[in-house]
Amino acid sequence: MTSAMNRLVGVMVFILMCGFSWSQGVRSLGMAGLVLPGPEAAYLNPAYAAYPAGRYGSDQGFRLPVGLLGLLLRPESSPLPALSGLSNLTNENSPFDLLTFYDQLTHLNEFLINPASSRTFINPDTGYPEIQINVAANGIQVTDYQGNRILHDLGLGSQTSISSTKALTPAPLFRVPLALENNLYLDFGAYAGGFGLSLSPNASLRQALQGSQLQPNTEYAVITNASAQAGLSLGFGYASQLPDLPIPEVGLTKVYVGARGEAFYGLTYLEGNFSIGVQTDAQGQIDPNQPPVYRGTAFYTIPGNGNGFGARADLGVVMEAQGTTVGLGIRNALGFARWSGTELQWNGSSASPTSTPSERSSFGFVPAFYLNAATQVPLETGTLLVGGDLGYEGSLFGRIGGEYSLGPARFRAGLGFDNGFRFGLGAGFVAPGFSLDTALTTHRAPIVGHTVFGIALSLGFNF
Amino acid sequence: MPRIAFALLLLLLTGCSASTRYNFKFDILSFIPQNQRSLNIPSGYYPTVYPNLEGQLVPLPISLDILERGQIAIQGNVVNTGSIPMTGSYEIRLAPESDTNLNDNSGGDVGLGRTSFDVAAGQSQSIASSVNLSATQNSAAFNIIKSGSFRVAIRVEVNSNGGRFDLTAAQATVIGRPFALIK
Repeated sequence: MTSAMNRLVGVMVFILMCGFSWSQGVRSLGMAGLVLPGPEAAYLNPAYAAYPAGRYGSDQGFRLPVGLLGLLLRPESSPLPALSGLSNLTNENSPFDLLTFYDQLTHLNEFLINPASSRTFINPDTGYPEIQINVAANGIQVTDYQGNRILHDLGLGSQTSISSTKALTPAPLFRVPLALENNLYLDFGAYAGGFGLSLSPNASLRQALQGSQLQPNTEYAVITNASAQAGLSLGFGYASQLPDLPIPEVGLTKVYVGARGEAFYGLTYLEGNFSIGVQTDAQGQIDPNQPPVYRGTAFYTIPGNGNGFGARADLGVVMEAQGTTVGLGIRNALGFARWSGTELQWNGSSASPTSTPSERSSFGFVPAFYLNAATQVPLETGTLLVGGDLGYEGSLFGRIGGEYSLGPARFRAGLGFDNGFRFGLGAGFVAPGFSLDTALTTHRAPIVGHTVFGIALSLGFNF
Repeated sequence: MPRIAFALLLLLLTGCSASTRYNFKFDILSFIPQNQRSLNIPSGYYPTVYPNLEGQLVPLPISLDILERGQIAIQGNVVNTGSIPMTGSYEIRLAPESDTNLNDNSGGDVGLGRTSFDVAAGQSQSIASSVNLSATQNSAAFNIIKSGSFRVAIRVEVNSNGGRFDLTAAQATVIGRPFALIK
């Protein structure tokens, strides 16, 4: 049991690291996440497999883990002093800040300019950060020294599970396409992603931490949700340019269509939620002698203990007329997935779960839509690409953005919504043999809540 | 166990640096039922321990050696309803959770901040005591709160022919550096 849990943790860390190294291309980040038409978008729309490469540039650089520099060079986040003794990190005069470390560690491919910091909580009267915890018979309140409430949610990635996405596996880390005859192709890939981890108080605890009275017979708990999966995929697709289509008032239109069947063999899967809490008595008080309440279920598959397989069908069409390209892709038009593994259940006062062999399966029509469009605007000096996309994959997202090229220089900007508002700002430099791209990133600081800016960097080689 | 869970929760939910301090402020009065916040003093020599011999338990979520200092403060009123002057004293009693007699100086209980009062007939007098606890101030009491949950009570000794002792505030503050957990 313990070794299985250790392996599970190891697998989670592996998936997390893979998620970091893949993430989104820096060119795309500079345009708020917009994906322009081209073969690189074939994962989102199989018709792009037949679309000419380079028409709207490409985003092929490797994202550099510049966050490592931030992590190690900044005394607040560097764990290196611990190498010569943990006390170097934890003594009172150490600059080490767990919050800065956490923020930079979870954004390893961005150099954070203003990472979250406990300095926000410094009380000028004492000179050190203070967290105020007020305990009374009818409530607990956690605030900063000024009495302002503190954000209590920590999250990473977004939760996915086969119950919500069916056979839609995460975007591949890499794909190796092999062209066959007659517009057919095969591709091999590996994916590791769908990573989500969150820690939050339940609704009752959230209220209580904001100063409300404890309610009688109520459970106050902290909830952890986690998801991740990894596996290998094999795609078999058809993509072709059809004869041009004369459309009235639009003119001669190029049409590309594509279909792909993708099968996956799953190595690792996790979906789970776990809560630990205390129950108040009929008077709304917490009995200090009462054991905590554990609840939750976790389903996991790790190599040597179950596996997964599934298949799905994707469809797409791309049309191009008067210099404008529009594409629509539907992934998971029909999908089936089945995972076998182990289910852990917590229900009650014991911290050790019951463990039973179990499986998860899903079949049905849970499509993910992806619509994108782009055009090139000729200018007197340089060229301008503008585009937009709109998609639905569990939730709606959309972006508009553009790239201005002047000689070897590229300037990018974009606006979008994707789990909240986002904007992008980026630049690039294209030279014979290599390209360098950079983008400004933003996210909300954990705990302290301000907007954190970061710089992402990628390097591409083209021989 | 719930204390450990609670401590874990706080450590997880609030980011901290090596110099961050957690200030726990316990409103002890809120744990004492409203109808027990007033003590009637009968005529004659009356020694008692308020609210009772077991004291009020203060559930301290962190029972580890991370506390740097603390403070216990009480406020109240002594009311003399008799016809002769009321004389007496009070002191704060502190004991580890395991000691259920806060008046016998055995099992760990200690007395702090003994204060005398002298209230004229028919008058009342407000009282306030604040005791600092650290490795150098009241170290025996400091060691009690460092060991985890503790009990607190007030011992009152009065000579009078009748009166009342009202508690209006009782607060314990402990300040600790969570990173001191890791050595």
